[in-house]
Amino acid sequence: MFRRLVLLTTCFALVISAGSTNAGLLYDLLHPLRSHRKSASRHASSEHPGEIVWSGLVMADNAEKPAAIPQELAPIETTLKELFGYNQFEIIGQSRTALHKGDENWDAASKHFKLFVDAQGPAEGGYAVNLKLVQHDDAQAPPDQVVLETDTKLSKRSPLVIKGPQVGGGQLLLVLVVR
Amino acid sequence: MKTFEEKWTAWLDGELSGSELAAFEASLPDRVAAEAEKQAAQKLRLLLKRELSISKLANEEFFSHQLRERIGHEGNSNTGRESRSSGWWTVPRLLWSGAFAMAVFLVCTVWVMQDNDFADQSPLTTKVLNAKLDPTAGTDATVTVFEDTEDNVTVLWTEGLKSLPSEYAAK
Amino acid sequence: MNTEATAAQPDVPELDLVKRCQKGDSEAFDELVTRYRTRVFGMIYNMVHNEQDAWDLAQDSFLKAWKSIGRFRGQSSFYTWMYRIVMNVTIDWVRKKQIKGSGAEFDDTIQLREIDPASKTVPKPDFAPSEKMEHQEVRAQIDKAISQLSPEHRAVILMKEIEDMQYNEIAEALGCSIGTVMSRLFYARKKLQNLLKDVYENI
Repeated sequence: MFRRLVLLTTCFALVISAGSTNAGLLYDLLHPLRSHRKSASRHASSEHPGEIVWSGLVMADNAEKPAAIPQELAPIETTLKELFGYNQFEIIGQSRTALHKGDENWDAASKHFKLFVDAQGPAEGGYAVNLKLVQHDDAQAPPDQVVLETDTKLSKRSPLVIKGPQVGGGQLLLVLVVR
Repeated sequence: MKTFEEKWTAWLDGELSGSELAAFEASLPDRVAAEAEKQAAQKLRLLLKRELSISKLANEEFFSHQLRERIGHEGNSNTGRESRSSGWWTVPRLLWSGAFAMAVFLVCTVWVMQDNDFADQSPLTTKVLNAKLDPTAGTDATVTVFEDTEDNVTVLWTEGLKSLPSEYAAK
Repeated sequence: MNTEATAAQPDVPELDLVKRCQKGDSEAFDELVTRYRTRVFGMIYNMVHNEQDAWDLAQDSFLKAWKSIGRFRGQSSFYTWMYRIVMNVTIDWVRKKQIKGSGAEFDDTIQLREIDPASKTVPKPDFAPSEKMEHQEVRAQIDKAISQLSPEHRAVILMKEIEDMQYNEIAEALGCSIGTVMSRLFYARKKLQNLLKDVYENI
C-alpha cells in the first residue's frame, strides 16, 4: 500500500514537471510578445532599484589624434562612428540616475544645452520617457529654447541616440542608455 | 580492545594464539582454577552436544510437503516473482525517484519563469513615439527614426537644424 | 505449485540453487529445504522445547525465506542468512510467549510422556528403560537450564555449542557484533555451568 502510494506520488511529480516544462515552452512559442510584456512589466516593476539610466550630451567631431572613446559610449562605438562619421566623442554633460519607481525626472547639462528627461513609468521592457533638448543662450531672448522634444519607449536593450544640431565642426549627440 | 569476557571466551574456544595467548594466560590470577574452569566448559559443551543434537525432525517429507502446500496456497511463486520483478523498485529507490522528479519540476519552473533570460533575449528596441522640432531651430528641419542592428541602437535623425558656433560645445 | 516430492539434488552448489529460487524455481527451494530442515527444526526445538511449536516455527521460517529470497545477495552463506530468519522468527515468538504467559517455562517432560504414536514425533535413540529415564531426566534438566537464559543467550549457546558456528557467523545471524556474541557466550556458559554442574560432572 505504502509502496503504491510512493509510486503514485512519483508518477504525479514526473507528470507535473513534464507538463509545466511543456506548457511554459509552448506558451512562450505562441505568445512571445505577451510573455515579453509580462516579463518586462514584472521586470520593470521589480527591478527599479537596480537600473540606472545614463543620459549624455556628446560632442562628436574629427580629430587628428582622437581620444579614446568614453567608457559609457564604448558599447555603441561602432554605430556612432559609422553613422555619424566622426572619430572622437567627448561627453560635455551627463547624468546617471537610478530608477526606483520609474517616474523620476532629471537632466544632463552642459554650458549651453540641457537635456531634460521625464520618466513616465515602465513600458514594454523599458520606460516611457519624455525628452526635451533645451538650448541656452544668454544673449538670446528668451534665453532657453526647446530645440527638440520627443516621447519614446526607452528599451533596456536598445540605447537611444538623437542627432542634434551641428556645433562648430562637430555634432551634438544625445545618448540615453539603460544599464 | 578486547574485554576480559571476550578474551576468556576466545581462550575457552582455543581462539587465542601467540602473544595474545601468552599475555592472557600470564594475566590470569589463578591459572589452575582457570584451567579447571576450562575443563568444565568443555564437559558442558560435550553434554549439550550429546543431548541437544538428538532432536531430529520426524516425518521430514511431510514437513516439505506441508511447506510446499503452504507456499502454493499463498501463491508465493507469483508473489515471489512480483516482488522480484518489482524488486528493483524498492521503497528507497521510489523515494529517490520522487525527489528527483520534484527537483526536475522545480528547476523547470524556475527556468520557465525566469525573467532575466527573456528580457535579455527580447528583441524589443527603443521606440520613438513622436518627435517635434522647434520651428525657429530650423525651418526645413525634419526627423527620421531608424534602428541600427549593429549595436541595436535606435537613432532619431534630425536634418535641417540651425548650425551653432563651436562655443556651444563647451562643457 | 507442485506438491509432490522432488528428486534430491545433493551435488548442486548452494548458490546455484539460490539463484534458481530467485528466478521462481520452487524445486530449487525444495532442495534447500531438504538440506536444512533438520538443522532448522533442531535449532528451534532447542530454543522453544516444544515439538509442535518448533514445527510451526520452522515452517514459518522457510516460508519467510522463500518470500525474501530475492533479497539474498550472496554476501554470506545461505545457511547464515537462513539462520538470521530462523532466529528472528524464534526469538520474536519466545518474547511474545513470555509477555503473554506468566513467564513460567513450558514443561517438556510432560509432553514427551503423552506423545500420540500417530502424530509427529521425535524418534528417540534405542535406550534401555533405565537409560531412557536417565536420559529424559538429563534432557529435562538441560532444557530447564537453557530456558532460564534469555532468547539471545539461548541462541548464541546453541549456535556455538551445537552448530559449531564461528563468532562472525553467529554475529551475522543475530545481527550483532562479534564482541557481543563473545560476551553473551561468556555469560551463558557461566550460567549453564552453574546450573548443570551436577549433570556434566557425572558424565
